[in-house]
Amino acid sequence: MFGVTMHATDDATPQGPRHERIELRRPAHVEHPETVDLAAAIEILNSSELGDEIWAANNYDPDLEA
Amino acid sequence: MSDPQGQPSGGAVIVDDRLALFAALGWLPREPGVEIVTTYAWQQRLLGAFVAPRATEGQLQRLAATLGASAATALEAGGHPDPALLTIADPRATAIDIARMRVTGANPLAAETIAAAKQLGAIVRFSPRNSTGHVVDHVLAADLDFAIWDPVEKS
Repeated sequence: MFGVTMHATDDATPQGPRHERIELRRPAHVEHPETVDLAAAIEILNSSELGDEIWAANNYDPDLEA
Repeated sequence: MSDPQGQPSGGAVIVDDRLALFAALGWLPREPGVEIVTTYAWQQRLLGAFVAPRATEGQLQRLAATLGASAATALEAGGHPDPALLTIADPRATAIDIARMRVTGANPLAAETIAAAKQLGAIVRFSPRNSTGHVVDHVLAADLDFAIWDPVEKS
């Protein structure tokens, strides 16, 4: 149903879930278009960086780190 | 729910916090008849990143900024999403199923994701950052249609 925007890829491994690509579409309105950096957004999305989403010690539950 | 290529054939897609942010800000493609849904637990995780007192900028805040949204806009979009872009599965509708999973060891993210997917007959798609760990282990064990969405810039 996502048509050409989503593609199954063949990079699934026995150790992990399969991956699909999904093409992002720029919305009609962007509040600060001058700050849009999709490459950076995708990099953040792929980042394995840990820690700075642990926003407050009293909210930190290691089980919630999916 | 999906064709042989793993593509949704309609219905709903349950997404994690990062994909929910993309959806709420209007960056995920919208297809007729396909609803993008996240759970209350994922929504809370998303919102927490924007309301917590913090000295440094977190990943979700940086993500919003790179999508051209202020923190206030991202908070509003995630807190009161446009239903055409993103809906929140009501955990009260599946409270008993969630409770059953919680007592057997599933955390709220996992339990709500699985319960919502089963209730809606939905597929489950997470961002690469959430491709391993407790929630994925439980989703895979629940035999749901699950994959990682790797966002790419439309060419």
